[in-house]
Amino acid sequence: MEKDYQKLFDGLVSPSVPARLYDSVLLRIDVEARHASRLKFAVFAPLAFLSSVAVVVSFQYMARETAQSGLSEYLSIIFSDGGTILSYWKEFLVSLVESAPVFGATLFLGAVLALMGSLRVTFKNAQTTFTHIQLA
Amino acid sequence: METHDKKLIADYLEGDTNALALLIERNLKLVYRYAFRITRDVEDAKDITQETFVKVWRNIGKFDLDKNFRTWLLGIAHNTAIDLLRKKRNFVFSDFDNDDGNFSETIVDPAPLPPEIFERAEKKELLDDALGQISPTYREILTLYYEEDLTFAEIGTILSKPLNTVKSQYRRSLSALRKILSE
Repeated sequence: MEKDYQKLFDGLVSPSVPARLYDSVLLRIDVEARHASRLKFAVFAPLAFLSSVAVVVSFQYMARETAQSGLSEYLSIIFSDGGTILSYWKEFLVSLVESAPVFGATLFLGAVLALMGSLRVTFKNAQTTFTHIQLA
Repeated sequence: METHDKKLIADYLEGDTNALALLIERNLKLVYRYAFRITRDVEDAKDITQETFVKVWRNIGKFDLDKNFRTWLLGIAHNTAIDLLRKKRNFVFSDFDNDDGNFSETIVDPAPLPPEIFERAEKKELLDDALGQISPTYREILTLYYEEDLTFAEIGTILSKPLNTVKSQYRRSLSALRKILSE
């Protein structure tokens, strides 16, 4: 029974694909891709600028925090009194950790990562925004 | 063919934009033919085809390479066709899916076509006209089964219907077609 119907459908003429449909599909995707790129560029370029400002500000904050923490004094002891450091290395390490500018360093690291990420997306989409994507 | 399509997808995801163009070229006829069979309108079929491949491009990163690409592609085409037909005209969704799909044990297998009807129906226009007179749901199932050589399970995936529903609608579609061809 199915063979009858299969034979019928085998004889059915397949509709021919209209000329230029392929080109119009590619063109449509190209338009959508450029639109998406422009949008990402418009969002991430300002973010990259803001991140770079945040990097500068957070670095200054971290430097101030370091100066106030006494970390540099602890570090200089390594060169001036290395022997004592070796004897009390555990306590020295604890002091180093306690005086480390953790908050400032975290802010700075976060700002650097945000800058790197937003720069990556910005440059990637700057290329496709300003040049045609060639799909074929 | 399926392997080649998946290789093209993998290549595209690694940055080869030519791979997407090739993928589209390889599957353009499949999608267009399917869209045309449902809508029976060249412009609608073109719109559906274009929109389908745009959706493929948008979602290709989410495609599971372990799955069947053709059923995924035709599933997108199916949903796109429904959306477009709904927007374009006074389209009653139930026209497209008017069967609750309960698989009934009492549905008798459609009888084979008598030779005289078969001979008449071999005239291509007759079958095409008959397909135009049955519901889009039935036309879709027959097209996927006989023209695209898909299994009922694959058809169920494309149409998001249980297997028994597809089988039930398949039997009904053959009955409907036979009735029209017999007239």
